[in-house]
Amino acid sequence: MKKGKALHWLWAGILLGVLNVIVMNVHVSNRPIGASTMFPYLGGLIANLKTAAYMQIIAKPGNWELYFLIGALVGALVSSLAFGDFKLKLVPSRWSKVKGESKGKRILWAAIGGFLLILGARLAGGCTSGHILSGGMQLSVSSLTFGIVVAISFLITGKLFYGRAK
Amino acid sequence: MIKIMILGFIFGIIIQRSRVNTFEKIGGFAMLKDFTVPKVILVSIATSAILLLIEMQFGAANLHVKPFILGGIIVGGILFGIGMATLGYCPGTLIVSIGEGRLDAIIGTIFGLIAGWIYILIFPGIKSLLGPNLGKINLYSGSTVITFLIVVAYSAVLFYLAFYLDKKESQL
Repeated sequence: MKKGKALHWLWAGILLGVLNVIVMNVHVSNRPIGASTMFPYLGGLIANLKTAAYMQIIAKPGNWELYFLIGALVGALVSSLAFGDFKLKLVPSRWSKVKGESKGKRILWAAIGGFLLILGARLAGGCTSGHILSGGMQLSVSSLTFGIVVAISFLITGKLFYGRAK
Repeated sequence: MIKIMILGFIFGIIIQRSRVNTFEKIGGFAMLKDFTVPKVILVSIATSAILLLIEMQFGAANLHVKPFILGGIIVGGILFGIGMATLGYCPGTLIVSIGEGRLDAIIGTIFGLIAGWIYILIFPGIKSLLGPNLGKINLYSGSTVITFLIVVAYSAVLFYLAFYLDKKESQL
């Protein structure tokens, strides 16, 4: 199938902003969009840690985010199939241009990155969705600080890790 | 439950169609080759900040500000930035990318679940090390009029930054 044209960044930003305000409505979910609490919640359910202190704290948001992300996964599956973006692929082309075709290398860094990403999100109490998008929407000092720290760490890592990318 | 999944479904479509879930866009930003991700984030915050304030005037929304726990925010933010740059996805886009068939996103998710599981185990020990907790503070003023002015100025700056990045990107 022919690849669909990407949604323009300006429309994507506006639609995401409107969606977050809808989610926040007291008659809808009365909370903002978030994603990273799902990881300890599902991890804890799989490891049967329901009674652990942290699981009790995150039970409600974790459950909400689990259903939200199941919806997101299905949404992405449907639209990627409809627009011809769906592809089983391990090594992204932009990665292979800089880091080569090695599957092992991509698996190793995806594993390290995934681990640090969620550990960091849980230490900070949020991620790109819960802190940066949702906290930014509320002019939250914690989230704006998180956004600035992440941007600096992300860009320095990018420079050191990918170097002068072609 | 169905309602939450429908909201997630819409989220997944917007993210997938704008391509900001992909390594090409997130890794591309880490390489300073593609600014789509920061542009979408800036516009989303600018749009929602104004709409939320209006919504709150009708009593239809409440603030849900996260506590400013300084140590956790800084250490967590540094680790998150390193993880996002090397993985090329963030937590939400990781799941969206699985929907698109990306196998590296599945690896990232498995190790994210392991990190979450370990966090549950270490939480009782590290809870006290994350502080100080400076409270659930935001930049709103006590006066509604001044709050409106702050939010409008804030959104204007974020919109400006998005268009500035767009101009810089076109010069790459």
